[in-house]
Amino acid sequence: MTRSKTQPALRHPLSGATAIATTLLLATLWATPVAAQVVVVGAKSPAANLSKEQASDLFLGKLTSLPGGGAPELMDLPESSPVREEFYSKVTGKSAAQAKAYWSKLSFTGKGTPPKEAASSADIKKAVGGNPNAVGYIEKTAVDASVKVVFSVQ
Amino acid sequence: MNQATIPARIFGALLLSSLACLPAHAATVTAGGVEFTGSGFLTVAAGKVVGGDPETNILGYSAPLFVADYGQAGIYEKNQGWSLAPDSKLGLQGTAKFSPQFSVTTQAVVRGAHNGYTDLEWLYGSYRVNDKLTVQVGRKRLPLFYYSESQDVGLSMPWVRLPPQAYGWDIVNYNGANLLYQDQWGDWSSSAEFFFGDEKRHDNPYQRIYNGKHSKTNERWSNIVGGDLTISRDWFEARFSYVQSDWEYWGDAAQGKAKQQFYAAAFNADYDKWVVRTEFSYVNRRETFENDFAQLVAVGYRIGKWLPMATYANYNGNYIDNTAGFLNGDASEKHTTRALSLRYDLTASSDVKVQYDWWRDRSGPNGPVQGNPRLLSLSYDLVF
Repeated sequence: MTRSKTQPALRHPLSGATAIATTLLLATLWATPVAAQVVVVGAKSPAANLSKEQASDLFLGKLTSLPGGGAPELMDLPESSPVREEFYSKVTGKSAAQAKAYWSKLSFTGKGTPPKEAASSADIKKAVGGNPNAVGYIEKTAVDASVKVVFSVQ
Repeated sequence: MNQATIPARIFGALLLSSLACLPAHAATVTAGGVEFTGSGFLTVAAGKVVGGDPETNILGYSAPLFVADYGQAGIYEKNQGWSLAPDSKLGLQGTAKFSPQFSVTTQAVVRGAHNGYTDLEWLYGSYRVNDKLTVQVGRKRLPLFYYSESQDVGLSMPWVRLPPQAYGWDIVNYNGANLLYQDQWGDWSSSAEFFFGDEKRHDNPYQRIYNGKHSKTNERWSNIVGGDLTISRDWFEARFSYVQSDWEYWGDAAQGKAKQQFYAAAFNADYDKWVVRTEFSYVNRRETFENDFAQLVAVGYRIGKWLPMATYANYNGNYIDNTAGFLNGDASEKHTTRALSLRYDLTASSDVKVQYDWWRDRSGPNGPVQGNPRLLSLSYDLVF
């Protein structure tokens, strides 16, 4: 929305509110697209590619071994990360909150070890690079030679 | 103000002040090759019996009374006003991982229902034999029903508390061993468990509900043997279980013993925005002429971060074939709770809930009398 030079900045309180609402709407639209996510292991990990069902089972604690690899050590992005929310809803069909509620039923009853929280995609890459059993998800644009992609979210 | 509410208020203040110091998520440190992980859960819940009948005193309790937690005797009484004690709790879990195969886990829970005392609920060693098989030895929760093991973790459930009609049993832990087998069959995931053990509880809180607020009754479940199987696929999950044991209780107001068998089945669905939780159980205690049926049906619909839900839970404790004169007249225990609840996910690891329960007592003339309470409750749940 462009404002003509002759127009006063705020003619009426309502137009101020409209401007704020428009800015918020634009900001929301701007922030909504989240980069596509991928599940990654270390570049040298023997883990094989995952199907969508396997990726879902893995991050809900139902898959107790990585296909082609060992016992998985899962990594999460922080709760505040939109990549985390998008990843869980697209892969498991559950929101990040529903997935956590599901995990809380496993982790406090001896039936699974929940994902460890990493601070950033860079930290996930560092962790999987140093541990063949570590597995995490990051945005596709963060992929580099240190990691191997085993599943891409469509 | 009676005596019971004073520790509850102190406990509530402690719980609330602990909120400020809890970490945001599980913390892990490694020392001497051993990886230590600390995590926990918190529920701050307030409830009040807002109506119902009859208003009287029964066994030292102010009726109508709402039994929120049978195993811990967490009870809302009519004359107590708002109470934090019955459902509030703080759990701390520590795991020491010595190798990829071997770890030791302990979990302690401080609860309002015990006036702030700490209970050691879990202490077990876990050995991962291979990708699918794990052996655990120590003290654990008894997996009678779907939510039994995570009964203290408010975030894991859609309600403020587990429906008492479906989860109201005397013993909730055991000391022993279990085998846990997790596998995939095509598109199905499965988790099977076999366990055995023993549990003895001095002055069991559960027995005070039936024998008087100030009575003392000890209880023992010995030769516990059981198994359960959970299978899931996409949006569907089913669980089947069987547990048997010898049962014995003795004390200043009651005594008895029997062999008991628990059968249970749960069918749950998370289909698109619909949430369905159902559970059915049958318990047989032949020597005390008792058999019990419980049913739970709950349906919710997710609207963004909100989960409104309607729940029906029914318990029929029947006394059959009373030819030996074990009981005087119709001592059956029958009650139903209908509840409306609303959960809102504040963050991925915290929620707030509000719930309204209508409890309807249909027990026999010589059965336990709790009245027909209506309960309003609010809770905040967190895991870290």
